Amino acid sequence: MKDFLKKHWWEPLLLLAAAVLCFLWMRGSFARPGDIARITLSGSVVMEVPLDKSGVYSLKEDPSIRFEIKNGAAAFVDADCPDKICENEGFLSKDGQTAVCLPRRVSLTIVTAGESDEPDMITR
Amino acid sequence: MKENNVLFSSSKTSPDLEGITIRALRIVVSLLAAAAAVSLCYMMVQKKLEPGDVSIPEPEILYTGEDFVMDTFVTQKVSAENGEELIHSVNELLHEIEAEWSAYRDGSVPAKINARAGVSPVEITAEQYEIIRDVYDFSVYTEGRFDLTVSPLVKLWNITSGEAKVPSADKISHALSYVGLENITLDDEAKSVYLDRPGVELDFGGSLKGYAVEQALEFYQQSGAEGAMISIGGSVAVTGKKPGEDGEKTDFRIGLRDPLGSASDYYGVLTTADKVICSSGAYERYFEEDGVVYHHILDPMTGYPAESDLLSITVISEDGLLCDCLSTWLYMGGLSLVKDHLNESDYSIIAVDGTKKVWLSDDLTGVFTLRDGSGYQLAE
Repeated sequence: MKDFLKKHWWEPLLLLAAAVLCFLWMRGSFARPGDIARITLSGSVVMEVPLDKSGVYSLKEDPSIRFEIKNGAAAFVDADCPDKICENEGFLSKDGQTAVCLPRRVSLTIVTAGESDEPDMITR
Repeated sequence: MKENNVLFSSSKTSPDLEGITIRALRIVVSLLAAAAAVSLCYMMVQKKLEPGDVSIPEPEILYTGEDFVMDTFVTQKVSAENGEELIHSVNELLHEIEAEWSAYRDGSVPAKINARAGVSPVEITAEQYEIIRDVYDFSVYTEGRFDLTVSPLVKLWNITSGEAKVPSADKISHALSYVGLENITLDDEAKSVYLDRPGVELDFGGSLKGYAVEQALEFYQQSGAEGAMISIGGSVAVTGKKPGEDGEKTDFRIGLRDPLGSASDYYGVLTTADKVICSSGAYERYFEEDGVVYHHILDPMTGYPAESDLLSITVISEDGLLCDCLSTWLYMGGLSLVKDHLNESDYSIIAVDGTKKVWLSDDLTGVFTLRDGSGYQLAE
């Protein structure tokens, strides 16, 4: 038994490290309760979708505007505007991250619950 | 088990190697099992949200608002008991500024002056005249590198349209013939502006956003807001502090956009108050043709997008109008111009060169920090 412990002492530590890493990965990959994607149209909030509700959504006010929630992140998809800048922003998940479709006057902003280490604003 | 071992062993495998293989497999399986167990536990512990069960714990009296003004996205964060009201008032203020100063609005100051080009001077209010005088004087200071008559060139390239194409050299040359400070006559006595021929046009696109955020800043301060922050495109203004944990006030943090990343990526964070912050770079608005990127900062000396060895520049100043003009001019002038003006008394600079080195005014040490892992480094 002693020999076994001597030989395998590092295996529980490895498991523990794997568990911690896994936990951190899970926290980063999935939304926490209260995290949402806030959609505004011409400056007014028209939709708030929890980031744990995966799916593709469209706006009632303009069904051609579509966005997807996946793995705790949100992104504009199938943008039919000429520049596609909003779609090129990709999936956003951190507090305050924003994608804007200027031609359609639509914005998508991530709002997370609790304190955040992210800046209050990012210059454009 | 023995049979299984055989499956993972070749006839040439030594007993030692066989043991190592089994051990490696055991470790992998254990790791996978641990990962699965922890993942399952985490998901079970997570509270499931139902539709309509969205509750965003807003920090105490910090309000946010968004709007579209001056063809760009506006964000506000205001710490005040009447924060929502202030946000609404500032949005109205911004729409008023746009109506007064956008060359594309009928009845605006530049629209009236442009319509009388080659016909007669246009008298304006003392306040309006002062703004035009300031931008004109700055244009003279830059020897026309920043030029408030660049409009014919901007319209020709039409980069923000989404359908831009590179104009012919003849068309660029023709547009340039209408660009130049010699086409403007200012009368300090009469407070009038005269453009000497039809086709010459004023455009305040390079200074309007900086001016607008400064006006918003003054409004927040006069309204007694404890803290506020506004962003209009590349121009940001910040005053006071925001509510933090346990009722403590903390500084607002401004992320400076990574010029090589997306709009949500930032390379550093600036902490400041009662200042306007203006950024310029080729990343803002551009189009591609035949694999070449054409950005929106047009050089009135050449008629083409400015060739700069900078990736981005940020200017920090109390004067919003100056701040916006400076960031455009310094971007066009590149690193050598930045080095000449790195430590001025009325503004500070954060510039990123093509090698991802960040050049910083001395007075920003301690209020600017690079983001860990951003790949950028401070210049020596």
